[in-house]
Amino acid sequence: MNDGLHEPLISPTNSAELKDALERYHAMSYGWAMSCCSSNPNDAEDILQTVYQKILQGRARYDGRAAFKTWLFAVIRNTAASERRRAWIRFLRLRSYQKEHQGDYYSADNSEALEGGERVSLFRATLDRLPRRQKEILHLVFYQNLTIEASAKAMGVSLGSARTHYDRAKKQLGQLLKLTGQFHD
Amino acid sequence: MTDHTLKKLFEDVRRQDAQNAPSFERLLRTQRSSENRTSSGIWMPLAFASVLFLAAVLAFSVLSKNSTLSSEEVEQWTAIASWSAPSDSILAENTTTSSESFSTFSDSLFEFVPTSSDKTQNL
Repeated sequence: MNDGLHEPLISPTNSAELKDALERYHAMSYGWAMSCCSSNPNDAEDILQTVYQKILQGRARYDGRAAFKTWLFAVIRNTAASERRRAWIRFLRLRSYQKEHQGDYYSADNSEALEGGERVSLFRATLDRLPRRQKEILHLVFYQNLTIEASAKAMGVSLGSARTHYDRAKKQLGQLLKLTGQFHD
Repeated sequence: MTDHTLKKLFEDVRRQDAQNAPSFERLLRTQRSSENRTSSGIWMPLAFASVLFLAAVLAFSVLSKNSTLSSEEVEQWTAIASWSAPSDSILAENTTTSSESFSTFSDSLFEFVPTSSDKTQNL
């Protein structure tokens, strides 16, 4: 099965192969982790670290039923979900810290990059206004280049449900972006 | 909003993420150090439990040492146990065995009174 576009099939069996596979998908995993935790870079890093730990210690095992990338994304999503459930107490405490660091994260050195960065920030903020599933399906399809079928597997929903989320998400995002007045076709 | 526009926007996001992503090696290094922290985190309660155990053993041995009687105390208690008072003879033991019986004047008061069940049987 090849879930992503132009993604070679890999099925790591030992720890060295696992490490290589994780390194190969590291950038994409980070992007997915960012999407799973409302674009908070600190949370994304924590989640990714926990996921790598789980996988390399054998607490999350790849059984070859789906493509490695799809499985990895499902692990990241589940880890992010459980972290969200556990972290509701810490949320208030971290909120101020998050705000502080988001400012640093989106700021850039030169004015050209800042403009681009601001645009990306606005796009992220608009994406965050979508319901979680809608945001996830758009990320998996447009950012990760996964098919809707593979995205459904990574999200743990049926294909029909994923298609519905996809259609609604595109419509809603289009409306929200239009409201900002910054994004045009 | 076309798919092409969305793809382009997501590409910008991806580019920004790629610039800001922590290196894979750094995450693994942090993982190792957190593992070390975890292992040292196990040693701390273990050491604390050991100290508690030793303290408990020490306390028990001290208490048991204190509770053993010295030879002087044994002699003192033996003397008290063997001491007999002049009035001890009054506290004579009962020599009547259970098989022996004797009659008293009041025995006649204990007459046989038939119970209701006896009456029913007689009917």
